[in-house]
Amino acid sequence: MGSGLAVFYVGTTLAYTLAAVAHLMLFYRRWDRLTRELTRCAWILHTGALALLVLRTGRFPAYTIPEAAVFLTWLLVGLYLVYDWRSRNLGAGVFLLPVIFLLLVAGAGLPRAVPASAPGPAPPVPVAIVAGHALVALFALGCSVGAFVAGAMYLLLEWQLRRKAMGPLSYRLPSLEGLDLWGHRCVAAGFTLLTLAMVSGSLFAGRLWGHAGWALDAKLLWTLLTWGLYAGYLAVRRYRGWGGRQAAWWSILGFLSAAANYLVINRFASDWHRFDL
Amino acid sequence: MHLIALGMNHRTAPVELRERLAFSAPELPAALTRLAALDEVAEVVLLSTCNRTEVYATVTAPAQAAARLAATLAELRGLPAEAITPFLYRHEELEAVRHLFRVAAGLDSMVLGETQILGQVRDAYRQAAETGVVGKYMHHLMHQALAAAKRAHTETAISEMPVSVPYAAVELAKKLFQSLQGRTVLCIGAGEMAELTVRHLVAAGVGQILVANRTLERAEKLAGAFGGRAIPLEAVPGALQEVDVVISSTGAEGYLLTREMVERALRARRGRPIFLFDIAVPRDVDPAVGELEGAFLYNIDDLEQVVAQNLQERAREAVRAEAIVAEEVERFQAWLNTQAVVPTIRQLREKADRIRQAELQRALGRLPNLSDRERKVIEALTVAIVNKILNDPTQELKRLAEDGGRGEARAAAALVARLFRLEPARADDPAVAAADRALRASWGRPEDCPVAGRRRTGAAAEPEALPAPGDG
Repeated sequence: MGSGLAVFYVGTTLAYTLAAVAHLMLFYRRWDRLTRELTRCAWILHTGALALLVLRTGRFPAYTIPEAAVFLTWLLVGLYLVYDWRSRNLGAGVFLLPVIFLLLVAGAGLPRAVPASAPGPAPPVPVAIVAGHALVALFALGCSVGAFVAGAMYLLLEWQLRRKAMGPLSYRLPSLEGLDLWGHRCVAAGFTLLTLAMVSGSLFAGRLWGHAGWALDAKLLWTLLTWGLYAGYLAVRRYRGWGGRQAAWWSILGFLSAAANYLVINRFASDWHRFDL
Repeated sequence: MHLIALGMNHRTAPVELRERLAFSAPELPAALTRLAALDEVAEVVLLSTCNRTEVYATVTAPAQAAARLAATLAELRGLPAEAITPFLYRHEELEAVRHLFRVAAGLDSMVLGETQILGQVRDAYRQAAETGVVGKYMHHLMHQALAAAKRAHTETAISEMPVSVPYAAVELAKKLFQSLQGRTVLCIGAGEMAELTVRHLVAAGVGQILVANRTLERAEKLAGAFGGRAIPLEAVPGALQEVDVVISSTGAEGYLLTREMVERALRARRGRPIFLFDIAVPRDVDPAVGELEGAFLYNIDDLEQVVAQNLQERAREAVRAEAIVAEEVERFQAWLNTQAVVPTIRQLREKADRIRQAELQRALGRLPNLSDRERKVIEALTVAIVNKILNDPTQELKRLAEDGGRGEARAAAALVARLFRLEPARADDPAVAAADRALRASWGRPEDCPVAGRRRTGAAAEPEALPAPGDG
């Protein structure tokens, strides 16, 4: 990363730290305006960082993990800000912002050198297919974050309702039913996208890496595990009708698994599945 | 011109008196007209709710006006003035503004932070405006009061959390269900609190109401009131599976709903949750029901505790709401201060425009061969020059008024009037009269209310021609 980009990046991360802390304070205080403004400022910095990144690399920001992290978090916070603008409700951010912070820090905490030019993948596979695969997988992760936020909010609100300890935040969280529904939608969409990513990947993996052992790559095995978790969630939903606490826990597990795959497994344990082709 | 607030509320007057002094909406226009007809009164708004009757008025002599307003109020209600005066409070000027803002924000209400009063203030204002007893000052005051109240409600949580048992039950149910539309409510027993809770739920849009009672007659009566259906007590366990919210308030000993019954119902509902409010003492629902995953059980103590917590929270938020009110009062004062310079600014602009027009016509008269485009350019030039020259003094005068208070603003306005030889305002000009009224609606004594420009120039407004450049 260039120095200008680094400044933006660090600024964005710091701004999100503040925004996340402000959101967590919503448990106790109603500092809405402060929280909202902080988040907006952070997002504006974030937009700057993303724009600079795209200008510098001259390509769609999904080629390396840091790029993907910056892009995905930008998209998620953008969606959240639109939601808050429409409905004046910061409840979701209480869980979203800390996740954004983690994704940003972990996603680019150990930045890899961005290749000077943007080398496409090896000739046998068209760039568009690889990019499409990466993008679908990235959106699947986005859905996973959404499901996590809904699940975490569900567990918090359920706990408060059961403990009969409704705090200032409780009245702003959506209903349990709504959270259950949105969690389900996120998982269903994420599961579909993940399946698409796996199918599209397996179509060109053999040709790209040129050997048959690719299926045993740690990243791909872990993806299978994540896929299984989400399949489990959907099965629970289908069987029980109402997802409830159990489904919320599943969606949290699913997110942890997906995040670990992106941030840890892919970086340190994968032999073949490299972003920076 | 002074602002006064005169009235009584739940703290100063007993309910018997408040009832007698209350005005219903159809009675308001006549009452407003009577009050506005008093010599001392210029504008008036009458706010009447079950907890308060208040008059806001701009008047010339506060003490006298207050006495006559009180006497008129009493007379309108067929009471002797002495019957109400001991219960009245009176606020003047900024204190009256603050009082109105606090009332509108629900900070002066019996239930702290309630929002109904906001609508009532709006209605009172609308009534007064329609009756034609509201001028520029009162318009602005009322708009600011409504804005201040809205700010207090959106920026703090004073109105957010339910502070009555039935309302708390509705809000809790809303935390479980995305919407209450089309939900089925089962009411077991027909106590007063249960009825009130059902009423709230109906208002929130629930679909079907089932009522079960030991005496079917009473159940049918209550069910009839809400368009619901009465069922015998024995049918309750079977009905549970189609029910989303249960309100139980029988006088029965022992548990009417056991864990097994609810568990069976939940299974039949495929896990869809159920909210049970057990407001009976002794309790109707086995506490073990609350351990089931899809069942949320609140008894009367739980509900009371939620309400107590919320009241505490509201009190804490009220401190912040008071700060917002203080800010808004300050804003209002700043507006009021600028009103002292508004007529001067208007006169200044008018005079400059008269001069501009005259000079423009003269110059164009000497240049008969200009094209349309050229004429437009020259005209635009004159407009631009006048605007640019006047912009700074106008802004500065306004800023001075906002920051420096009325005395300074008036002095500055007078100086500007003198420097530019501005015409004193003519009282019969309606536009001038309106501005003048705003000017006089001040905190100051009415006698030291000079209209901008003490020096009278000639009566005819002959625009002074400035020497045009190159006009030699």
